[in-house]
Amino acid sequence: MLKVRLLNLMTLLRKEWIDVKRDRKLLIGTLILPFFILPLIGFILYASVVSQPPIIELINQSPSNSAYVNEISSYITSHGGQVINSSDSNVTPDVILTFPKGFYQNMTSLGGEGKVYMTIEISSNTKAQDLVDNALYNVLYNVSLSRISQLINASHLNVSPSNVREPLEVVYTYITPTHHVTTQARDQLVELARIIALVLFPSATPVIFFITDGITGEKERKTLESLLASPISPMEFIVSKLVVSMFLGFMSSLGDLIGIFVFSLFASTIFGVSLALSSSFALLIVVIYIETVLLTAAISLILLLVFGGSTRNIQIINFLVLSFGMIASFTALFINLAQVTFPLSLIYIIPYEQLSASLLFYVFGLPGESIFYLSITLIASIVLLFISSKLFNPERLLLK
Amino acid sequence: MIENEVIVDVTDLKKRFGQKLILKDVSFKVFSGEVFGIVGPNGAGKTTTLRILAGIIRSFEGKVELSGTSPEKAREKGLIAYMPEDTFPYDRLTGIENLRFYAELYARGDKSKVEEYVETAIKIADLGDRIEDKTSEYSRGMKRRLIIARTLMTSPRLAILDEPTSALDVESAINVRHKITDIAKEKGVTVLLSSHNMLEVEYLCNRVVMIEGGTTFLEGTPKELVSKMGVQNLEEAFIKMTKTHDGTQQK
Repeated sequence: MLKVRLLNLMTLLRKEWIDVKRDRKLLIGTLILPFFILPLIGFILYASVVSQPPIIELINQSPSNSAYVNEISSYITSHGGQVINSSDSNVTPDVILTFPKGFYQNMTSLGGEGKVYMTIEISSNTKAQDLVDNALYNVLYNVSLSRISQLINASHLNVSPSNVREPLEVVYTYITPTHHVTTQARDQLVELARIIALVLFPSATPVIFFITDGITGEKERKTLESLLASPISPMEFIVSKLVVSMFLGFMSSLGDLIGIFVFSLFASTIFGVSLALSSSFALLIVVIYIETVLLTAAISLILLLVFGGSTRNIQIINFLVLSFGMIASFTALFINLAQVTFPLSLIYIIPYEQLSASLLFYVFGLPGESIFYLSITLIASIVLLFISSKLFNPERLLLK
Repeated sequence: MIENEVIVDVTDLKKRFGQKLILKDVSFKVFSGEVFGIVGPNGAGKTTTLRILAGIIRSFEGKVELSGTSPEKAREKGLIAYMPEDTFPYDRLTGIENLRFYAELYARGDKSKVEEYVETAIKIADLGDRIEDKTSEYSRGMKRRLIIARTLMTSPRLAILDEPTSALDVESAINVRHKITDIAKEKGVTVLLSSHNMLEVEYLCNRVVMIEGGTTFLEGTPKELVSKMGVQNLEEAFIKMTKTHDGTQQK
């Protein structure tokens, strides 16, 4: 039942390879396109940030306010925002900040309270409000320091204005769930790991199509019956379909993988955050991608053999596998997997959850647990393939 | 070849699909070197019987042996070659690539056998230079000839052909019939075929089993069947069988 003759396998793989190589739609749609689509998405995102900076309109209702308006304006422009005035009628601002008459007087008198009016356009660039809040805080900080200085001078006390302004200093220490001291960069790495866990499964979804099409495609093209009657073993048939599907699946997720490495390389330049991947973490990501592809192929295959290969059944298979993957992606994003207890720990039964856990446990500083979950997934995939070969029933595949 | 060696032994074959009993009681024997025909109306169970013999359908009741072994084992040993009724070659592969693919599966690593099988198939298919073209560019008849060639190229112990000449024009059909008889005679290949064309069955087959409603109705040479049914030819025998069965069903 589990017999795999290398010669038969090579013959089957050669046929599959010629078939795939000559299917231009498949090659363009699933292998070449992702290499263009992913950078294109990246470019669009980058372009949207660069070409659509937060736009803030500053309205000054008194020339005496100019010093503060200029300070706010220079802060905004130096932090990537664009400042416009009311004469720029062709540009719609995200936020309008109005400095009324008397603002300067209120701000410069010791007991005065300056007031500004902020108008926010809903569904506008969300960064605009943050930018204006930060600019105002900057002004507020300087004004309060100045006022404290005045009070200190008047009271002849020997204290530092900044200590009065900020009497509390917070000292941050980052630790792992195992209580080992770590760095803020590691915290950034955890965020990166969560993002990888989120995109991990979607990048493997083409495998569902490759495995189902690999088998039901033979049925549709009316080549399956002849092949099933030839002297090949069920395992040879399954392995040949699996190898080709996994190869195609891995190739189509390669763009995603490259994207992660490029992102980590340029993160310090773009975001000012160092996300340099260690060679062991990079290797782990690659292994996890391969295991995601393997697990997706194994689950799709067993469901295909259980349900049968009709178009409706393939829709059910797609729905089931996608559901498992989406649950795992989102739990990685929202749940701290290092601290789950029963009954929440039952989520580890859900396929793909173990791969998210492996990724996160590594960055939490728990390599043993990471390898454990990686091994569990590998074993589960192999067991599923073994069961698939046992369940393999040409009659069911052909007639259902 | 051993005279009168039983190649196919089917006894009390039953097959259910869910609750429905498709094959109720099918029994027949095929001897070495014979061209044996299975005939019957649509839904009689011919294709199901052939699929069981080809080792595709594995769950059934009754005895089915091919050269003393199970159909599944015979398939794995490459003793059977099966041409389904509704089958096509791989359309992104050329004719010769299609032949080579199956030749390699049957040759089990023997490269000289691969070449021998492909050469034989090229002769049977008789497609000239078109053998180098992708089969997506073939007509339906050309595809059929290629598949027949692929089925017969290994000179299997048993060649199972489901409606071998359907979709072929008259000239191609005659050509294929000649190929089948030649292969059976020259290489001693036992051929089991199903057909709706009674003239073809009469021309090709040494012996025939008539199946109706999942049950063996009659078995014998075409002459014996015609004589037993008291008719002029196999076509009339076929019609009489369906009427008899309908009458039995109504009663």
